[in-house]
Amino acid sequence: MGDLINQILNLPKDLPLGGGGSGGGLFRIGLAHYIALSAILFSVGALGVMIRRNVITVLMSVELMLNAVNVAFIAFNRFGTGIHTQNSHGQIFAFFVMAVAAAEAAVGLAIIINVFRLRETVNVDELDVLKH
Amino acid sequence: MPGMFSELAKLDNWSQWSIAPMAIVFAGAVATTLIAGFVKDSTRRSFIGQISIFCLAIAAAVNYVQWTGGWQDPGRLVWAGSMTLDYLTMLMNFVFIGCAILAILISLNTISELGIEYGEFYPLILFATGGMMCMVQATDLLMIFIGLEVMSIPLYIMCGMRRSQDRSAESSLKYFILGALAAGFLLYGVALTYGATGVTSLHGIQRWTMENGGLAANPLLTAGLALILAGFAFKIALAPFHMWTPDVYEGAPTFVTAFMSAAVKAAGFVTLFRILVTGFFQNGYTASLVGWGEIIAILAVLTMTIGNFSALVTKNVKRMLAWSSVAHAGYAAVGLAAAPAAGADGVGGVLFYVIGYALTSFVSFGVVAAFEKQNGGLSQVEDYRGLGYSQPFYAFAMTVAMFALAGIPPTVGFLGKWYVFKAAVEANITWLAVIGVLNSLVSVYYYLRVVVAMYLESPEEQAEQEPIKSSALWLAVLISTVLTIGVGLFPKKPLGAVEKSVSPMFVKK
Amino acid sequence: MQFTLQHLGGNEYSFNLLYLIPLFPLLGAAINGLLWPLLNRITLVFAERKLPRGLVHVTAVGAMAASAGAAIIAFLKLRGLPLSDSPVFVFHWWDWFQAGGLKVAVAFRYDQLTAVMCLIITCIGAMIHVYSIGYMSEEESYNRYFTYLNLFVFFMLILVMGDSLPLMFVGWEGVGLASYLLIGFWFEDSEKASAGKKAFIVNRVGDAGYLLGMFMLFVLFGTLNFSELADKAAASGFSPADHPWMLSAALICLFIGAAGKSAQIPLYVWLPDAMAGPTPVSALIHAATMVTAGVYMIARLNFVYALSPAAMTVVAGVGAATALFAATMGFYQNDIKKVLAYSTVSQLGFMFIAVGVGAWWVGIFHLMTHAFFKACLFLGAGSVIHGMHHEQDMRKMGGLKSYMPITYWTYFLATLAIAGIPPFSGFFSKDEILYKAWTGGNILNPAGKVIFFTGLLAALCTAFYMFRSVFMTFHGESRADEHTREQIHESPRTMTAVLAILAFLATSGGFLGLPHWIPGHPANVLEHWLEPVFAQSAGSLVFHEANGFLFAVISVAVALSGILLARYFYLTPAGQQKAEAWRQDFNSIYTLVQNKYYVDEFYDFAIVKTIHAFSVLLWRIADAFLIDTVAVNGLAQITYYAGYAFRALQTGNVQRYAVGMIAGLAVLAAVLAAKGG
Repeated sequence: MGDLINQILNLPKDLPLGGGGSGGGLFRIGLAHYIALSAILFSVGALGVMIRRNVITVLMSVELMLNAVNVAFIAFNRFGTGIHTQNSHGQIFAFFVMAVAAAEAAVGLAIIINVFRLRETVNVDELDVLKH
Repeated sequence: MPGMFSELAKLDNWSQWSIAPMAIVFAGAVATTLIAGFVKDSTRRSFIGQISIFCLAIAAAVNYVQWTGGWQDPGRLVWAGSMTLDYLTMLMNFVFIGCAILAILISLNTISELGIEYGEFYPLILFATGGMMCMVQATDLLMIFIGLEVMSIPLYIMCGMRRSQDRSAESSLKYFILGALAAGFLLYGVALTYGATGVTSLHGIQRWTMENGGLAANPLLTAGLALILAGFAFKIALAPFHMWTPDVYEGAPTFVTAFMSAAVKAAGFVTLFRILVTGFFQNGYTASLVGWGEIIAILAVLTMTIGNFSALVTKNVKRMLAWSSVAHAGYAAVGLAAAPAAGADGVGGVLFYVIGYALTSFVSFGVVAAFEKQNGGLSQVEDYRGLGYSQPFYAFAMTVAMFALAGIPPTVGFLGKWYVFKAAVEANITWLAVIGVLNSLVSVYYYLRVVVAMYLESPEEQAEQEPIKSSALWLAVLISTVLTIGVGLFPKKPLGAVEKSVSPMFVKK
Repeated sequence: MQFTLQHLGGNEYSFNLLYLIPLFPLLGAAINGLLWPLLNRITLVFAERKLPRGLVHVTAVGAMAASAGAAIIAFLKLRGLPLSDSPVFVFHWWDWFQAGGLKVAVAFRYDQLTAVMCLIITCIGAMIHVYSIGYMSEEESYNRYFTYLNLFVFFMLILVMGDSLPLMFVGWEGVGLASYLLIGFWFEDSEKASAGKKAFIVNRVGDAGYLLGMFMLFVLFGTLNFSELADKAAASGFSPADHPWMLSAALICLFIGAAGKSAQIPLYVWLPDAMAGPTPVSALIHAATMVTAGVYMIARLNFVYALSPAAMTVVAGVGAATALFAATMGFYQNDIKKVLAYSTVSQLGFMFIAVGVGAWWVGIFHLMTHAFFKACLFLGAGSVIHGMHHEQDMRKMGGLKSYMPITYWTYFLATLAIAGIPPFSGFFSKDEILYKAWTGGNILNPAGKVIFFTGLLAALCTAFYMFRSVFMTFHGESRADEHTREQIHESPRTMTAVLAILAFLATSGGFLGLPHWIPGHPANVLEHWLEPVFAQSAGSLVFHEANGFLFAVISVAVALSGILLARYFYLTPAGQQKAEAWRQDFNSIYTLVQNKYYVDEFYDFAIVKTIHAFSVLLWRIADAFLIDTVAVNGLAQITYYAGYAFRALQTGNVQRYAVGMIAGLAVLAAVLAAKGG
């Protein structure tokens, strides 16, 4: 599976896939698996933003997307080749993402509370006074 | 504590001096937050606005010192290569500070009319301004992201500051949800770019793309660029990432709308072209390493067309201006689309366009703000009938704004359009210029409708057309009106500044 | 302030008086628009009285007189210099903008062509300001009117004096704006306000052409300054063959701009509607000055137009088609101002024929004579309307000759001029245009001959419909009702004096451009004067020899027959009966093409009935269908539907927006991947 993902992503063959050896088996966890996980998490989050009615859930979906980003950053930093491992940008970035996500969540919840006070609903599809 | 100071002292002096204006703005933001907390009587907090203006003025003065030679080495990288101080940054600092001052002037008296707390708005707008300054100063995707968020999060709150108003709250929520989604796009794009290149600094990305033959070789980088483009297309409201714009602009308090449509848009455009030109463009190639020019061209066409045609059928003046703001993002994007082939002319066009548009939007939204009341006020085009005779000053300002937005000389709007369309013709994408010119033809119709209503129609009955009594608001509209005409007539200095700012980006290194 | 005339080298002289020419009207507008209303408020509060109205027109007329004075001084100075050196006055005020190799200055250029235009604009403008004192005497917004009028003159002067295409464009847009404000002057009438809007929008279509043409010229030549353009076009390095379509496309785009401003097919539609404005405005803007801007622009750019026979053919062809089409439209107008409006469109067509075939000076000559006689006609019509208490329908006039003798005689003289009867001014210019169309060898063959016959036919129609208007208005029995008839009066002195001056100019203006065939070969003053301006293109243009006298005889014969026909149908009982009989005969066509607006007179005219049918058909297709239904209404409909469609996407549901963003992202990534991969 690792090879398959590597092929799809067209990653360099010499990327270490964990466990040693480029022809790792199905359960040898490497970069490709992390990227796949991150992509799936990101898609799930995006899907949640599009289809969940409850604003709180939408907010959580957004957080999911940001965490997908974190997974990707850490994985690239840990498993990347050459230049990736020489610096720790990916890990630092992940910290900042967490901080910003926390700030966003705080503000978001405040906004949601205000909307709930006025409209007594947190369903996004009922919030459409502004249109056309 | 002493240890920390000694650490600071060891830092490159250049680095500290380079962010002085931004630091002053942030210091002002913190100070106003504290002051607001110590003044018990909330109705007496209006002086916080004056303090904010004072902070911004100091920042502008420092920025002026840097511009006129206080900064010896424009373009030098500081803070370990994550920031720079070039003329582009300094010019944009002026723009952001100016926008913030104008927005505060408009707000000083209208804010209580709309039932908004003084103690909340001023720190927030200072934080947002500082965030923008950070964003355009950054040359590393990490810093850009931080700047973007420091700008955006206060804006989410500012949109919803009319807390008792349905529309304001809804506008805030919509902006927040979609803004967070767009931030997710941007971050994922940065992550993929990092994965492909191993770096987050723009110069590092450029080096990598040059050495590895551009995007073609790497799907990760392709996806990363697409995601970054989408993230910024949201901020500057390019179709199809524009749909939040009319709703949010309409619901937000008008001075916030003015600030967003002027400063946020300018910050977004400047950062976007810094990323594209520094990171994904190589001097010496006839075109960019990756075909972002064509993509921006398509987005520009969509944006102009959707913005103009929607504005055509919109009767609410504020919403119409919001749609027009979408359309203007499209015009500015024409210059960006021309940048790969026209170089500094294209990007200079974008820069001049967004600055000119910032001025104009303070005129138009300033007039709207003057007639916006807690209950009622003027909102539809019909409400403006006969304003030319009952309120000659505001009507004249609005007329200037409408002509500038329609691109009629000698206003700044004409010159802006001139630049971006000329750049498109130079870049051999004449079709884009033709679509742009045709679009501006359509736009004349709805801008004209406002002027016609003000001067050539009489109100049905004697309508109440009293503006909010505010000399600050009056002053803000006056300043931006004078500048809209003045820069149109004497654009030499601003244009020189714009050229000075963008030309180093295209110098072969 | 000292006025210095300084030789800059070459043929250029710096003359700092130039900026005063446009500045005076601007000052006038500022004083009338800002200062007096402000003072008025102050005196109302403190002295409880208004400022005298006289201040307004003294300011406005004074500004015009000062401007005309400056223009005349500049003209005299220019005349003082030897013409053979082709001297040009320039005044560089400030650098406007500069970017990417393009440098545009706010600089004026006063050469022989500008001098002619400036004199026409300021002198006729001043007279029309004087006339307006009488005409607008009962108007409430007196100062608003004069503010707009001065503002118009300011922009018009910028248009003709600007030394580059962008600066000309400033004037170009400005006159459009002022004209729009003046057309919609009586805005209480919504129809009139919408006429103003139509004018503005149609003009914007032309402006889009102007802008695109300007961009293309910049790409071709790298400059937009007139003298630099001329140098680049003359340089041996530039060959039109290198840019087979770009040059022609640029020039045709610019011509679209000219067609918008100068009311040529298909953008003429706004001009007849523009008659909603006050009549002096129609005389100044929609006859003498603004509408000739397109002709001026092409004459100004003669050196590039001469490089593209295709573009010149388009110009001349559209001009000829417009000349004939608008002339036939003149037949069935009953509104006296509408007749003159269509006649203006038609005469502008003649001017475009002239510049299209490369006879630049003739175009300017006709522009000048037309300014004289058409201003006189419009002001005469204004005098009639004033005397008849705002009656414009000619069917309710008749016999006004005895009530308004000065108006009648001036109108009659101007009509002789437009009909082309020697020695009135219109004869010389129109005859020269037809002569040049026949002999010119610069446009694609055989367009010249076709254009000649089209023009001749248009001249016949012109004589007919103009005399029709004279006969219907001033001759025969009065058809006005008792009440109105008692009140008909000659207009005040300010108005009749202006009429007299203009009638004199309309009579004698032609002597500035006497044709070659006159025995003794008297000097052609205007052609000689304008030679330096058109010298560069003159080398490449060819005109064959022909017997000019013969052409003069033909055109006089055509004009006379037009007049006699009009007399037969409108003054003799036999002719009127015949017209009535034809009316019966052609009843079937009547119902076919019936239109309440013009039918009455539709088939009075058997000789050109086929042309009539054709032109009506054209009108139906071109105007009513293409312009009104498709272009104006249809496009508007489509635009609106598109607007509503986009709006429908805007559901207000934030998740729909998110879907839009994610779909947009997917497309973006796909396109990038397709390009990159």
